[in-house]
Amino acid sequence: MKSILFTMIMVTIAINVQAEQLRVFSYSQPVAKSILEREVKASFTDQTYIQPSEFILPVAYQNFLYAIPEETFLAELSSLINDDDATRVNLLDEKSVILEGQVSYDADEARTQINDLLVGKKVRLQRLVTLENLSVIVFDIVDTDGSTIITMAFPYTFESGKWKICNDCSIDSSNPAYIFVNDNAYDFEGSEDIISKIKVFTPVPRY
Amino acid sequence: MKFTLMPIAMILCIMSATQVLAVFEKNPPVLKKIISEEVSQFYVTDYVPYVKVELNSAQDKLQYIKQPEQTVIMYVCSQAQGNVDWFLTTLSRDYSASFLANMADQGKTKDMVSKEMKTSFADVDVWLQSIIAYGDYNIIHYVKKKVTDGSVVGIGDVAVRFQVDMGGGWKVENISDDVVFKNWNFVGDSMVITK
Repeated sequence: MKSILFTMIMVTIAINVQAEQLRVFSYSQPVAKSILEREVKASFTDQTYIQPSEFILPVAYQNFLYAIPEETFLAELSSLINDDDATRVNLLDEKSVILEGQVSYDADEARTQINDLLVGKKVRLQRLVTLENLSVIVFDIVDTDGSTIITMAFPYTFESGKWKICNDCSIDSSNPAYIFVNDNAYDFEGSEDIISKIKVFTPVPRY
Repeated sequence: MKFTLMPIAMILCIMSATQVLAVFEKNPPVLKKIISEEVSQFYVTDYVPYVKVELNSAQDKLQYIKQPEQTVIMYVCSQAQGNVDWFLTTLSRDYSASFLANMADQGKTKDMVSKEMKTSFADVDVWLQSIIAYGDYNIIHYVKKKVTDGSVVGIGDVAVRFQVDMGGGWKVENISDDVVFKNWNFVGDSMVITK
């Protein structure tokens, strides 16, 4: 009996100590609110090519002026097939030239892969996305039977009066061209804007 | 002879260029935008009744930091009493470090800061009015009222976040640039901020 009484007293004391620490507050009904932050990251134009806009690779690019990104695009792929490094390096933008010196790769192996993919195939231009001095060409590699093997997007940048290959665009997350390529901007049809990201911050339990 | 051939050469050049460009015919451009949107949801709750802070509370009576309110009460009391060391214990590690760095930059001693703190809470009562639950934070809104006539002479918002690495307690954080911290008290239930 004494033992039970002692235990009850101790529990009461413990509750009182806890009560002193954990103060009780009374609240009104919570009001839910939200703030939407909206920021236009970039404006760009999106153009579709009038079909058929197809080319058998390699094309003759010797007289290209590279004043439009399509010429740089065709020359890039054709020079790869032709093993024409001089032309390809000339088409690299400044950043890509630096990267070219840092990256070591087996040129023969790379060339074999590219030849397997491109030789005798057609490229079909689908869309041109342009943002200031950046353009992304979205294209299909088309098999001899007319079926699409793969759809790709290559970015180009306007530098020193010419459209240059922008290798860096595809790996720089701060670059809007990265969004075009990696968020599949070319999947968006019509005139809708692209909402690049939506984050929602929700409250966590208070205690 | 040279003179007469030039226009022909020019026409040939233009024709050649036109032939190259013609194969890249496109439909009219559609102007689009890449828009970033972030939605922050939060809940505003008022204390019923408002909670009066006993500014003279002794430090050893207010060591419980398992509730956001208790930390804010300590934050306010330590300032009212000009106890800089106590005040610093209510801040997160980063905020505490930046606070001390700011003091040093401004050439202020603890005594000087202590006086400033006491002055800012002199002759006022402090009432906790609202708590805003937002992400990892709770923001507590308080008002300062003149002791003599109860008129509001100031307001303040304090953001606290639960720190697991500091013994498990709510600590004050500096989120003065945060969009909810700056705007939570707007009228209505939603607002849009266009950057």
